[in-house]
Amino acid sequence: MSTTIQEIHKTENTNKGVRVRSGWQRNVVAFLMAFGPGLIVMEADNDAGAVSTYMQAGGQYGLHLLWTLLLLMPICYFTQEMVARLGIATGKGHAAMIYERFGKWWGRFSLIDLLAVNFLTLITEFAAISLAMSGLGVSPVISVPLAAVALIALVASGSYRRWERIVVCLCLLDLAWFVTAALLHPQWHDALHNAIVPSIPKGGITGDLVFLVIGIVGTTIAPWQLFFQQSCVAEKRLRFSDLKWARLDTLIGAVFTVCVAGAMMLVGAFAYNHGIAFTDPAQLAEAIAKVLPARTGTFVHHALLLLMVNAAVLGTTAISLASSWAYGEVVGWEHSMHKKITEAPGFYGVYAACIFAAAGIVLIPRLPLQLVIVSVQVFAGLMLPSAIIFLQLLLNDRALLGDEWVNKPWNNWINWTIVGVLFALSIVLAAQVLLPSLFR
Amino acid sequence: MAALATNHKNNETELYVIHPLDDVQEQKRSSEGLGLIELSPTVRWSLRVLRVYLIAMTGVLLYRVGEVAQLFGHHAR
Repeated sequence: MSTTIQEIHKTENTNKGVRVRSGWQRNVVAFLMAFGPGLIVMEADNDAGAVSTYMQAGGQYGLHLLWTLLLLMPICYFTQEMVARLGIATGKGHAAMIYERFGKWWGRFSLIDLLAVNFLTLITEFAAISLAMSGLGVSPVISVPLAAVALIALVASGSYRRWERIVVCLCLLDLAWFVTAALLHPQWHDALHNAIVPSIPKGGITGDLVFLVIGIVGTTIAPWQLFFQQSCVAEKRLRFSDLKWARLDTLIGAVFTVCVAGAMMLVGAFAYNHGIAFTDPAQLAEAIAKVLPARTGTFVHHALLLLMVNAAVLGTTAISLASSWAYGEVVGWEHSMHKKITEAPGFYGVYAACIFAAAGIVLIPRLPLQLVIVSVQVFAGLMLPSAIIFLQLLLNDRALLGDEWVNKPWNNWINWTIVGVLFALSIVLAAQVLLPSLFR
Repeated sequence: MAALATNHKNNETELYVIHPLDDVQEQKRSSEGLGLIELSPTVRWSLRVLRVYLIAMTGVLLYRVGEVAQLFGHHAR
């Protein structure tokens, strides 16, 4: 209460508080102030790899796999809600908590795994920027370095608030996916039916189908998300009283990201319905433009490529930040966007190094990109269940969190089920990639 | 999050909502002095198995990537 009174004086003096006239207005403003990390973490997960995976799902199986997205929505929410709760309760990032509570070995192992899989993912993001901008007539030699510099400038301004506002705007640009999907006149009734009622495609359960479903799971829930949202919540200094708004933010993010993923699948399903074969989204954009009337075709073509760039930019900034926050937490460096570059050189250095190195690698001719993509999927698939196990153990740590913030029994049931399912999928994925002869 | 204040001129209650970054930092749950997390023998054993599994799978993955990238001098595909 003393804090509240101090804050009144502070607010009156510095005019930093927003005056509201009713409890209803207070709730809206308080939500908007806490809003951000949940939407960003979810929408950034619809990155370049996700665009490719969802479009392939639509392209190969039409609307048949839409139900997987609806199934993944609660999984996304429950996992990220735990991270938000842990971040608010401790004010620290996920890497720091693993290091402090499980010791150096697990702390370093988690960090190295995270940095490795994040770096590989960043390469795929820049590859997507290169591909999409090439489709728009811009050479990779120009587009990739420009994107790298812009992404560094986005963070280097020394203001978390500015970064968050810009990134939330980029997330909202993804609303254009719905416009683009609508222009392709999908069969909405079938889409709704397939989203709610699980169905198996005509060919039955094949190795390719299993691989794609695991790919959808892996791309919808990624290990970096756990590290990112907790650090982001800590960076934003969300308070205990903000927890309900952080939960709502996370829920909105989960619903929005799944709807956007559905729109991507609808775009892919257009190729399925028109017999268009494609290997990447840029190729699909070009093929769709040829089928549609000239003006609509050009719009859809440009929109798809620009949305792909937006997806890659969102993914890159969030993933690089997850890496630099985690690294700073474990080695004990200053790791905050509230600090200037001179005050936290290590934090900004890791962020910039990740981006420049990934961008540089993409410019290497004849890069084995397919190998990178498969490695990312398997690495992330291996790492995710164990990362969630640590999250689950931390959320049952009464010595740290007390009775108020630990998981409730129903929470634990849901989360252990999620861990079990992810572990099973992880083992199948690992076996499929490492011992492909088993699935022929 | 929100602060209550009384406006003395017309005796109305005013509400202010303060952004988390402008608010006074609150006391969080601290791990200082707690040491490592207390685990039951089953969980500790499970984590050891997980450690072996992760090391083994990482090794196999690196080998497989090397094989596909033809680092070992033969065509794996």
